[in-house]
Amino acid sequence: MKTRNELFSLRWLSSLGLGLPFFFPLSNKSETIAMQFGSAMPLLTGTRLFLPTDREIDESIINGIECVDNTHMTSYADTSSGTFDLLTAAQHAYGILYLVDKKDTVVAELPLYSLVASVNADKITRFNTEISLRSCYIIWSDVSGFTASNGIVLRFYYTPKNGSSIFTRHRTRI
Amino acid sequence: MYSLAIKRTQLVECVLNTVVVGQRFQFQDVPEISRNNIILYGLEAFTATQLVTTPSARTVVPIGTGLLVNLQNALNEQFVYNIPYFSLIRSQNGGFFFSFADGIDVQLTNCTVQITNITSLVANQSAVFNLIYAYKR
Repeated sequence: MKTRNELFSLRWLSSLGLGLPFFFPLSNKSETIAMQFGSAMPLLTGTRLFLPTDREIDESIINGIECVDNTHMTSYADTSSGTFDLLTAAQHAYGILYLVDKKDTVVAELPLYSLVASVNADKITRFNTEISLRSCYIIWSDVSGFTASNGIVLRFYYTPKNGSSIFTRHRTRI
Repeated sequence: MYSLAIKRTQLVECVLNTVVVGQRFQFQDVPEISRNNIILYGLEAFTATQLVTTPSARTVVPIGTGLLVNLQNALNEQFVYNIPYFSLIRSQNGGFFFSFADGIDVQLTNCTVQITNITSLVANQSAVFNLIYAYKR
Protein backbone atom coordinates (compact mmCIF):
# COMPACT_ATOMS: atom_id res chain seq x y z
CA MET A 1 0.00 0.00 0.00
CA LYS A 2 1.53 3.28 -1.07
CA THR A 3 1.47 6.28 1.22
CA ARG A 4 -0.21 9.45 0.07
CA ASN A 5 3.18 11.08 -0.41
CA GLU A 6 4.41 8.26 -2.61
CA LEU A 7 1.30 8.43 -4.74
CA PHE A 8 1.57 12.18 -5.09
CA SER A 9 5.22 11.96 -6.03
CA LEU A 10 4.61 9.32 -8.66
CA ARG A 11 1.80 11.40 -10.10
CA TRP A 12 3.84 14.60 -10.04
CA LEU A 13 6.90 13.10 -11.66
CA SER A 14 4.88 11.13 -14.15
CA SER A 15 2.72 14.08 -15.11
CA LEU A 16 5.86 15.92 -16.12
CA GLY A 17 7.32 12.85 -17.81
CA LEU A 18 10.21 12.96 -15.40
CA GLY A 19 10.05 9.56 -13.82
CA LEU A 20 9.21 5.94 -14.42
CA PRO A 21 9.28 2.73 -12.41
CA PHE A 22 12.53 0.88 -12.99
CA PHE A 23 10.75 -2.11 -14.43
CA PHE A 24 9.36 0.01 -17.26
CA PRO A 25 11.13 -0.64 -20.54
CA LEU A 26 13.17 2.25 -21.86
CA SER A 27 11.84 2.36 -25.41
CA ASN A 28 11.21 0.30 -28.50
CA LYS A 29 14.06 1.72 -30.48
CA SER A 30 17.73 2.20 -29.78
CA GLU A 31 20.82 3.13 -31.69
CA THR A 32 24.53 2.64 -31.14
CA ILE A 33 26.72 5.66 -31.80
CA ALA A 34 30.32 4.51 -32.12
CA MET A 35 33.28 6.80 -32.64
CA GLN A 36 36.86 5.70 -33.00
CA PHE A 37 39.59 8.10 -31.97
CA GLY A 38 42.23 8.74 -34.60
CA SER A 39 42.88 10.87 -37.63
CA ALA A 40 39.19 11.33 -38.41
CA MET A 41 38.52 12.35 -34.82
CA PRO A 42 41.69 13.78 -33.33
CA LEU A 43 41.68 13.83 -29.57
CA LEU A 44 42.66 17.05 -27.91
CA THR A 45 42.12 18.07 -24.33
CA GLY A 46 39.36 20.65 -24.08
CA THR A 47 38.27 20.31 -27.70
CA ARG A 48 34.66 19.60 -28.60
CA LEU A 49 34.24 16.15 -30.08
CA PHE A 50 30.95 16.34 -31.94
CA LEU A 51 28.63 13.38 -32.31
CA PRO A 52 27.55 12.25 -35.79
CA THR A 53 24.25 13.12 -37.40
CA ASP A 54 21.24 10.87 -36.91
CA ARG A 55 17.97 12.24 -38.23
CA GLU A 56 15.80 9.68 -36.49
CA ILE A 57 17.23 10.51 -33.07
CA ASP A 58 16.80 14.21 -33.83
CA GLU A 59 13.09 13.61 -34.45
CA SER A 60 12.61 11.57 -31.29
CA ILE A 61 12.28 11.81 -27.54
CA ILE A 62 15.41 10.50 -25.86
CA ASN A 63 14.45 7.93 -23.22
CA GLY A 64 17.87 6.74 -22.14
CA ILE A 65 21.59 7.04 -22.75
CA GLU A 66 24.24 4.50 -21.88
CA CYS A 67 27.98 4.68 -22.25
CA VAL A 68 29.42 1.23 -22.90
CA ASP A 69 32.73 0.41 -21.24
CA ASN A 70 35.13 -2.47 -21.79
CA THR A 71 33.53 -4.69 -19.16
CA HIS A 72 30.39 -4.95 -21.31
CA MET A 73 32.20 -5.09 -24.65
CA THR A 74 35.94 -5.39 -25.28
CA SER A 75 36.03 -4.25 -28.87
CA TYR A 76 33.59 -2.72 -31.33
CA ALA A 77 33.48 -3.16 -35.08
CA ASP A 78 31.28 -2.01 -37.92
CA THR A 79 31.87 -0.86 -41.45
CA SER A 80 31.54 2.85 -40.76
CA SER A 81 33.29 3.12 -37.40
CA GLY A 82 36.00 0.50 -37.93
CA THR A 83 37.37 -1.73 -35.19
CA PHE A 84 38.50 -0.30 -31.91
CA ASP A 85 38.90 -1.07 -28.21
CA LEU A 86 36.52 0.42 -25.70
CA LEU A 87 37.62 2.55 -22.77
CA THR A 88 37.63 1.45 -19.15
CA ALA A 89 35.05 2.98 -16.82
CA ALA A 90 37.83 4.92 -15.08
CA GLN A 91 38.87 6.52 -18.38
CA HIS A 92 35.34 7.82 -18.83
CA ALA A 93 35.88 9.96 -15.72
CA TYR A 94 37.83 12.38 -17.93
CA GLY A 95 34.90 13.16 -20.22
CA ILE A 96 31.69 15.17 -20.10
CA LEU A 97 28.88 14.75 -22.63
CA TYR A 98 26.98 17.92 -23.48
CA LEU A 99 23.48 17.41 -24.85
CA VAL A 100 22.34 20.24 -27.09
CA ASP A 101 18.84 20.89 -28.40
CA LYS A 102 17.74 22.27 -31.76
CA LYS A 103 18.03 25.83 -30.46
CA ASP A 104 21.71 25.20 -29.77
CA THR A 105 21.07 25.34 -26.04
CA VAL A 106 22.97 22.96 -23.80
CA VAL A 107 20.23 21.07 -21.99
CA ALA A 108 22.38 18.62 -20.05
CA GLU A 109 25.95 18.27 -18.87
CA LEU A 110 26.69 14.64 -18.16
CA PRO A 111 29.93 13.25 -16.81
CA LEU A 112 30.43 10.10 -18.89
CA TYR A 113 31.17 7.93 -15.86
CA SER A 114 27.62 8.56 -14.71
CA LEU A 115 26.33 7.05 -17.96
CA VAL A 116 28.39 3.86 -17.65
CA ALA A 117 25.88 1.24 -16.54
CA SER A 118 28.46 -1.24 -15.27
CA VAL A 119 29.55 1.13 -12.48
CA ASN A 120 26.03 2.37 -11.69
CA ALA A 121 24.47 -0.92 -10.64
CA ASP A 122 23.63 -1.63 -14.31
CA LYS A 123 21.08 1.17 -14.33
CA ILE A 124 20.78 2.99 -17.60
CA THR A 125 20.32 6.73 -17.19
CA ARG A 126 16.80 7.73 -18.23
CA PHE A 127 15.84 10.88 -20.05
CA ASN A 128 12.81 12.64 -21.39
CA THR A 129 14.30 15.26 -23.61
CA GLU A 130 14.91 16.21 -27.21
CA ILE A 131 18.30 16.85 -28.72
CA SER A 132 20.05 17.59 -31.96
CA LEU A 133 22.62 14.78 -32.04
CA ARG A 134 25.10 16.46 -34.36
CA SER A 135 25.21 19.47 -32.01
CA CYS A 136 26.02 17.29 -29.00
CA TYR A 137 29.63 16.94 -28.05
CA ILE A 138 32.11 15.44 -25.62
CA ILE A 139 34.94 17.34 -23.97
CA TRP A 140 37.84 15.40 -22.46
CA SER A 141 39.91 16.93 -19.69
CA ASP A 142 42.84 14.55 -20.32
CA VAL A 143 43.50 12.26 -23.27
CA SER A 144 47.00 11.11 -22.41
CA GLY A 145 45.83 7.56 -21.72
CA PHE A 146 43.96 7.16 -25.00
CA THR A 147 45.26 5.85 -28.30
CA ALA A 148 44.01 5.84 -31.88
CA SER A 149 42.87 2.25 -31.37
CA ASN A 150 40.43 3.39 -28.66
CA GLY A 151 36.94 4.71 -29.16
CA ILE A 152 33.70 5.42 -27.43
CA VAL A 153 30.32 3.73 -27.76
CA LEU A 154 27.11 5.47 -26.73
CA ARG A 155 23.71 3.78 -26.75
CA PHE A 156 20.70 6.03 -27.33
CA TYR A 157 17.23 4.73 -26.44
CA TYR A 158 14.50 6.78 -28.06
CA THR A 159 10.88 7.04 -29.11
CA PRO A 160 10.07 8.66 -32.45
CA LYS A 161 7.78 11.65 -31.94
CA ASN A 162 5.42 10.37 -34.61
CA GLY A 163 5.12 7.06 -32.76
CA SER A 164 3.44 6.28 -29.47
CA SER A 165 5.37 7.46 -26.45
CA ILE A 166 5.92 5.27 -23.44
CA PHE A 167 5.66 8.40 -21.30
CA THR A 168 2.32 9.39 -22.79
CA ARG A 169 0.86 5.97 -22.21
CA HIS A 170 2.20 5.88 -18.66
CA ARG A 171 0.87 9.31 -17.86
CA THR A 172 -2.68 8.49 -18.84
CA ARG A 173 -2.82 5.47 -16.55
CA ILE A 174 -1.91 7.20 -13.29
CA MET B 1 11.68 1.46 -7.32
CA TYR B 2 11.47 4.62 -9.28
CA SER B 3 13.83 6.12 -11.81
CA LEU B 4 14.22 9.77 -12.68
CA ALA B 5 14.04 10.78 -16.30
CA ILE B 6 16.35 13.68 -17.02
CA LYS B 7 14.95 16.75 -18.73
CA ARG B 8 17.82 19.12 -18.07
CA THR B 9 20.97 18.99 -16.00
CA GLN B 10 23.59 21.49 -14.97
CA LEU B 11 26.97 20.88 -13.35
CA VAL B 12 27.49 23.17 -10.37
CA GLU B 13 30.69 23.57 -8.41
CA CYS B 14 31.42 24.41 -4.83
CA VAL B 15 35.05 25.44 -4.46
CA LEU B 16 36.70 24.56 -1.15
CA ASN B 17 38.90 27.63 -0.82
CA THR B 18 40.41 26.60 2.49
CA VAL B 19 40.44 23.19 4.08
CA VAL B 20 39.32 23.64 7.67
CA VAL B 21 36.92 21.47 9.64
CA GLY B 22 33.59 23.25 10.09
CA GLN B 23 34.12 25.64 7.18
CA ARG B 24 31.13 26.12 4.88
CA PHE B 25 31.34 26.99 1.21
CA GLN B 26 28.59 28.31 -1.04
CA PHE B 27 27.66 26.79 -4.36
CA GLN B 28 28.83 28.86 -7.30
CA ASP B 29 26.12 30.90 -8.96
CA VAL B 30 24.78 29.85 -12.35
CA PRO B 31 22.60 32.74 -13.56
CA GLU B 32 20.47 30.65 -15.91
CA ILE B 33 19.07 28.61 -13.04
CA SER B 34 19.30 31.13 -10.20
CA ARG B 35 16.23 33.25 -10.87
CA ASN B 36 13.90 31.08 -8.87
CA ASN B 37 12.93 29.63 -12.24
CA ILE B 38 13.60 25.90 -11.82
CA ILE B 39 12.29 22.93 -9.95
CA LEU B 40 15.09 20.71 -8.72
CA TYR B 41 13.98 17.10 -8.66
CA GLY B 42 17.25 15.23 -8.51
CA LEU B 43 20.87 15.60 -7.61
CA GLU B 44 24.12 13.75 -8.08
CA ALA B 45 27.55 14.41 -6.56
CA PHE B 46 30.97 13.40 -7.83
CA THR B 47 34.39 12.59 -6.52
CA ALA B 48 37.51 12.29 -8.67
CA THR B 49 36.65 8.65 -9.32
CA GLN B 50 33.61 9.71 -11.33
CA LEU B 51 34.86 13.05 -12.68
CA VAL B 52 38.52 13.96 -12.59
CA THR B 53 38.30 17.61 -13.60
CA THR B 54 35.46 20.12 -13.65
CA PRO B 55 34.55 22.11 -16.78
CA SER B 56 36.37 25.06 -15.19
CA ALA B 57 39.49 22.87 -14.89
CA ARG B 58 39.44 22.43 -11.12
CA THR B 59 40.34 19.13 -9.50
CA VAL B 60 37.36 17.31 -8.01
CA VAL B 61 37.49 16.24 -4.36
CA PRO B 62 39.05 12.77 -4.08
CA ILE B 63 36.67 11.43 -1.44
CA GLY B 64 33.25 12.46 -0.21
CA THR B 65 33.23 11.08 3.30
CA GLY B 66 34.37 14.32 4.95
CA LEU B 67 31.71 16.59 3.49
CA LEU B 68 28.13 17.52 4.31
CA VAL B 69 25.64 19.21 2.01
CA ASN B 70 22.84 21.70 2.79
CA LEU B 71 20.23 22.81 0.29
CA GLN B 72 18.07 25.90 0.83
CA ASN B 73 15.61 28.00 -1.11
CA ALA B 74 15.56 31.78 -1.62
CA LEU B 75 13.84 32.24 1.76
CA ASN B 76 16.58 30.28 3.51
CA GLU B 77 14.18 27.41 4.17
CA GLN B 78 16.20 24.27 4.55
CA PHE B 79 15.18 21.36 2.36
CA VAL B 80 18.14 19.11 2.92
CA TYR B 81 20.13 19.49 6.11
CA ASN B 82 23.59 17.98 6.47
CA ILE B 83 23.28 15.05 4.12
CA PRO B 84 26.59 13.22 3.67
CA TYR B 85 28.17 14.06 0.31
CA PHE B 86 28.82 10.34 -0.16
CA SER B 87 25.07 9.67 -0.13
CA LEU B 88 24.68 11.78 -3.25
CA ILE B 89 27.21 9.84 -5.32
CA ARG B 90 25.17 7.76 -7.72
CA SER B 91 27.69 5.04 -8.44
CA GLN B 92 28.19 4.45 -4.69
CA ASN B 93 24.47 4.19 -3.99
CA GLY B 94 23.08 1.50 -6.22
CA GLY B 95 22.92 3.69 -9.31
CA PHE B 96 20.14 5.82 -7.84
CA PHE B 97 19.95 9.56 -8.22
CA PHE B 98 19.10 11.36 -5.01
CA SER B 99 15.61 12.62 -5.76
CA PHE B 100 12.96 14.85 -4.21
CA ALA B 101 9.33 13.90 -3.82
CA ASP B 102 7.82 17.04 -5.30
CA GLY B 103 10.80 19.01 -6.49
CA ILE B 104 12.24 21.98 -4.62
CA ASP B 105 12.83 25.66 -5.39
CA VAL B 106 16.52 25.72 -4.75
CA GLN B 107 18.57 28.91 -4.47
CA LEU B 108 22.09 27.95 -5.45
CA THR B 109 23.96 30.60 -3.53
CA ASN B 110 22.15 29.63 -0.33
CA CYS B 111 23.32 26.02 -0.65
CA THR B 112 26.51 24.99 1.07
CA VAL B 113 29.06 22.24 1.52
CA GLN B 114 30.62 21.84 4.93
CA ILE B 115 33.90 20.13 5.75
CA THR B 116 33.82 17.61 8.59
CA ASN B 117 37.10 15.82 7.90
CA ILE B 118 40.05 17.17 5.94
CA THR B 119 41.61 13.82 5.02
CA SER B 120 42.72 13.88 1.36
CA LEU B 121 41.18 17.31 0.77
CA VAL B 122 43.31 20.10 -0.67
CA ALA B 123 42.45 23.79 -0.96
CA ASN B 124 40.75 24.88 -4.17
CA GLN B 125 39.41 21.45 -5.03
CA SER B 126 35.77 21.41 -6.07
CA ALA B 127 32.77 19.53 -4.80
CA VAL B 128 30.72 19.00 -7.95
CA PHE B 129 27.02 18.39 -8.33
CA ASN B 130 24.85 17.64 -11.31
CA LEU B 131 21.48 19.28 -10.71
CA ILE B 132 18.59 17.55 -12.45
CA TYR B 133 15.90 20.14 -13.02
CA ALA B 134 13.01 21.38 -15.11
CA TYR B 135 12.05 24.96 -15.78
CA LYS B 136 8.89 26.08 -14.01
CA ARG B 137 5.87 26.21 -16.28
